[in-house]
Amino acid sequence: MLHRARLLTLLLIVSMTVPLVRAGDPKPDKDKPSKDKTEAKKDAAKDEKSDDDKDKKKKKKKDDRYFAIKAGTVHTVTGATLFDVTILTKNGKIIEIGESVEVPEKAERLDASGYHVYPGLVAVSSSGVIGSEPPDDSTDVFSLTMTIGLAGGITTAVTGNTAGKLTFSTLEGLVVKRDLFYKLSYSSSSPDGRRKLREKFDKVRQYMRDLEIYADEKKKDDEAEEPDKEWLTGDFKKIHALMRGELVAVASADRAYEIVQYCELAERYGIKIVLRGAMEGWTVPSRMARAGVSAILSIRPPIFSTDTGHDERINRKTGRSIENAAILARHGIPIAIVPSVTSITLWGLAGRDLLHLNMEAAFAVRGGLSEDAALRTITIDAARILGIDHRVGSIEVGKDADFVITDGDILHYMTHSRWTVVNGRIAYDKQKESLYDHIRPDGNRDAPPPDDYWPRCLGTN
Amino acid sequence: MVMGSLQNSFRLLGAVGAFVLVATTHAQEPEYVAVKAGRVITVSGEEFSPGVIVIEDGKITAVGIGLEFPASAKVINAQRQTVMPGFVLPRTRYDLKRFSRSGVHGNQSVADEIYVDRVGFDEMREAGFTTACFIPSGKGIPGMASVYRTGGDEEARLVAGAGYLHVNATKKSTLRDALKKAKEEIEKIEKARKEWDEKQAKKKDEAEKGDDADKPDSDEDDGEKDGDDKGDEKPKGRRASDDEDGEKEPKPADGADSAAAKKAEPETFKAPPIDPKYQPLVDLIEKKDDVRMMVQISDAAELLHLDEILEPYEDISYTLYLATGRSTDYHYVLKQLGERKAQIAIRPNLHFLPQTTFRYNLMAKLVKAECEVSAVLYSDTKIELSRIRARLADLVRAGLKKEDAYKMLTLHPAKLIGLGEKIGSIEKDRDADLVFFDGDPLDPHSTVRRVMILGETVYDADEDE
Repeated sequence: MLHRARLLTLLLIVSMTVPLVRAGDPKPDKDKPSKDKTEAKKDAAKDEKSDDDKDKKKKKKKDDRYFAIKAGTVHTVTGATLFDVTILTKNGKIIEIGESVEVPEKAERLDASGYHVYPGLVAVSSSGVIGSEPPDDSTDVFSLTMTIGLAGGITTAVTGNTAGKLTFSTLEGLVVKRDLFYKLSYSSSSPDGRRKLREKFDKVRQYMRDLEIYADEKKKDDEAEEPDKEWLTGDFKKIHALMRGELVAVASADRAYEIVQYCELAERYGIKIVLRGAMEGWTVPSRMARAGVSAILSIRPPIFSTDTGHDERINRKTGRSIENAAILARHGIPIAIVPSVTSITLWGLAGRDLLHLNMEAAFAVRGGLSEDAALRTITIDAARILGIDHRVGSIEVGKDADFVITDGDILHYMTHSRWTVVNGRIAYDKQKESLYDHIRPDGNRDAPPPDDYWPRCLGTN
Repeated sequence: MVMGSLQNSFRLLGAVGAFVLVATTHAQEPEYVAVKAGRVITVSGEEFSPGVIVIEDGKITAVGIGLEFPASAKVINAQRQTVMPGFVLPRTRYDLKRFSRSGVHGNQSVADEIYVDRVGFDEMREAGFTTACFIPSGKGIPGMASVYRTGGDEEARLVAGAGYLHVNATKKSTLRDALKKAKEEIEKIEKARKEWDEKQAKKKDEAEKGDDADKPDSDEDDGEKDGDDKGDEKPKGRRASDDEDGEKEPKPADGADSAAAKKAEPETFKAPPIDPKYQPLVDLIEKKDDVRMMVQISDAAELLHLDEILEPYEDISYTLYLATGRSTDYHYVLKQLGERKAQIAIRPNLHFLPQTTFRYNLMAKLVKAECEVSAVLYSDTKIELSRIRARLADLVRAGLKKEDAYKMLTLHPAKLIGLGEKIGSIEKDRDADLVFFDGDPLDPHSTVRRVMILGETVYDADEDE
C-alpha cells in the first residue's frame, strides 16, 4: 500500500523522538527502578491537582479507570505515525503515548499489536446511532444501530445540534457539545425571509458600531449613554455571538448560486458559515476560499431529479463531481465528509449509509484527494468544523480515548473494525458481536471462537 | 353462587376486618376452617404432602402435617387436591377501557374508574387469582394503582394501603421534571417554616426584652446558662421556638404589646399546601411508609436513564415493570438489576434475544441475578388468565425452578403491591386466600377446583357444575 513508504520514513523520525509524550499518572512500579521517577512523580502530582479540582466528588466515588492499548501502528492524524507503542488512558482521556509506558497494575489491557489504531471517526450528521436531541435523554445505549455505527468506526456523531459519543452500555460522557451551530436559512425562494434576516444582521451590526462609538465617547464624557440592548435576546443574541465569532452558522447549499450567496453573506457580515451539501462547490472553489466558508459534503450525493450530473445544455459547470473534495481541499477549504444517507440503513450494505463513513472518504481519494486528507475529513477536520477538535479527532495526550482499531488501512474496502473504543471503554468487539464475526479477511476462518462466544448470555451459566 | 348463613357471616368478617371483629364478635366463638389438602405449597416455606391449614376468622393460624383443630371447624376435604396461595396479579387493566392521559396525576386513582360489578372478577377468581392490582391508563404519571380482592363483599374489595404510583419513564423528562417539582414543593414548605420560625424567634426576642425588666423568673432561668441558651436558640429554629412558645404562652401578663401581637398571629405553623398531583412523589422523596412507585421501562437503556433521574434522590424506592413490547434486551442490565435486588414485573415468555431467533429465558436469568420477579398477564384477556400457568410451565421447562415460578404468581407480586405481610404465602397470620387445583398448578391440564378469600369459598367448581 502507498502508506508503507511514508510510514517507514516516519518510523525513523519516531524512533528518535520516543518517548514522545509524558503526562499524567502512570503509578510507577515499586520494584522497578525508574529513570525518571522524580519527573514522573512531579507530573503525577500536577495531574492529580488539576484533576482533583475538576471532579473531586467523582473521585471519591469511583476509582480511576485505566485502559492501555498495546498498539501496532498508531495513526495520530495530527502528528507522526507511531509503531509498537502503548497508549495509556485514564478516565477516558489519553494520558501517555510511548514505547516505554508504565501501565498501572489495575489497568484494563488490550493487546492490539499488529493492528492499526486510528482516532474514532466523527460523523458530522447522523440519525439513529445516538438518540435524537437531547441525546442524553433519549439514547438507547444498547441499540443495534449504535453497535453497527461502532462497527463502522464511528465514535462521535451529531444528532440535531448536539455532538455525542456512541457510549455503548453507559450514559457516562455521552454529550460532547451542545448548540453546535446557528442554523441559517437564506433561501432564494423566500425573498422576504432574506430581507428579514439581513435586517436582523444589520440591526446587530449597527448595535456593535454604536458600542464602539460609545466606548470612544465614554473616554471623553462620563455620562455618555450606553446603546439600548434590551432587544438583544433570542435570535438577536445568537446573531450577535455569530458576528463576534463565538458561534458558527450552518446552512444547506448545493447549487453554485446558493453557495455564492452564502459566501456573500459570510463576507458582508464577517461570519463563519459551514455549508452542508456543497455539491457544486467544485465550480466555485476560490469564491468559497475567499469567504472562508467550510463544507460538509458527500462524495456521492443523492441524485437530483432535475439534474443528475453535468448538464451539457447549460454552458457552465454543474452537478456532482467525484473531484469535489479534492478541488475544495486544494483551495484550502476545510471539509468534512459524510455519506449521503446519514443513518444506518439496510440498503446501505457497502453503500452510502453511515455504516460506510470510511468508504465515503475513500471515494474522495478516488477523486484525487490525498489519503491523509481523506482521513482528516472524517476525523480531525470534521471535529474542527464542529468545534470539538480539543476533545476528539486525533490521538494526542489530553484528548478523549476514542479509537477505532482495525485490521488494515481504514480507507480500504476490506478493512473491518476489530475493536472500537469510546471514552477508554471497549464499546465494540467484532468477535463478540454477531454482525461481522464470521468475516475473517485475514483468511483465518478456523480460528477458535472466544470462550464467551456469542450469544454470550446463552452460555453454560 | 351459593351463600349459606355461615358464608354471610364470613362476608361480614371480610368486610369489617380483624380489629372490629374482635370488638363486635367477642361473645361469639371464632369461625374456624380446616383445609385438609393432599399437597400444600406454602411458597414461603416447605411443602406439606399431605397437609392441613387451620384458618381462624379468615386468617391462617397454622399449617403443617396432621395438625389438630377445634371440633367446631368447618372441614374442607381436599385430599386429592393441591392448595397454594391465591394468585396475585401485580399489574393489569383487565376489563378496563383504555383512555389517554398525559402529565402528572398523582392525585388520581384507578379506583375512580372501577365499577366492581363491571370488572370480570369472577373470571379472575375462576383462574385462581384472589388479588389484582389495577393501573391507571395513560402516559407519564397517570396516577395511583389500586388493589382489589377478586371476591367477597363488593363494598370491601378495595384493599386500603396497597398499590403504587404508576410511572411511565419512557420519556425521560416526565419523571425527572415531576420529581424536581416535588422537590420544589418540599423546599417551599421548608422555606415557609424557616420564615415562620424566624418570625417567631424575633417575636420572642422582643417579648423577652419587654419582659426582662419586670420578670424575676426569667432572670433566674437565664442566670446560669445564659451563653448556651443564646447559642442554641437561633440555629435550632423550629424546635427551640416551638417548645419555648408553649412555655411562654400562659404568661403574657405584663408585656401587653407583644402579647397582643402574639394573639393576632396563628400559633401553630401552617404549611403551604402541596400540589396534590405531586403528593405521592413528595412522600416518596421524604421516604414515608406505604408509598411505592412502579416505573415502567421499555428497554435496558432506560434503566440507565432511570438511574440518572433518581441519582439526586438518595435511595428512593421503586419497583420495575419491564415492558417487552419494543425490546427485550434486558440481559444487558442483569447485573445492575441483580445488584439492587430489583422487584420486577414482567410478562412471562421465552423472549427472543434481540435481533435474533434465539429464545432466551429472561425470567430465569432475572431470578438467578437475585431479582424478585412477578408475572403479569401476557395480555389482559380471559384466555391469558389461565394461560399464565402454561407460560410459566414453559419457562420451567426451559430452566426456571418450579418454586420460583410459584413465587412469581404469589409472594413476589404480593410484595410488589405492598401486601407481602398479608397475602402471597401460606403461613401463620396471612390472609386465608387459597386456590385449590386438582393437579400440579403448573400443569396446564389441571383446573382450579376452589378459590378461597379470607377463609370464605368464593368459587367452587363442584358446586358450579
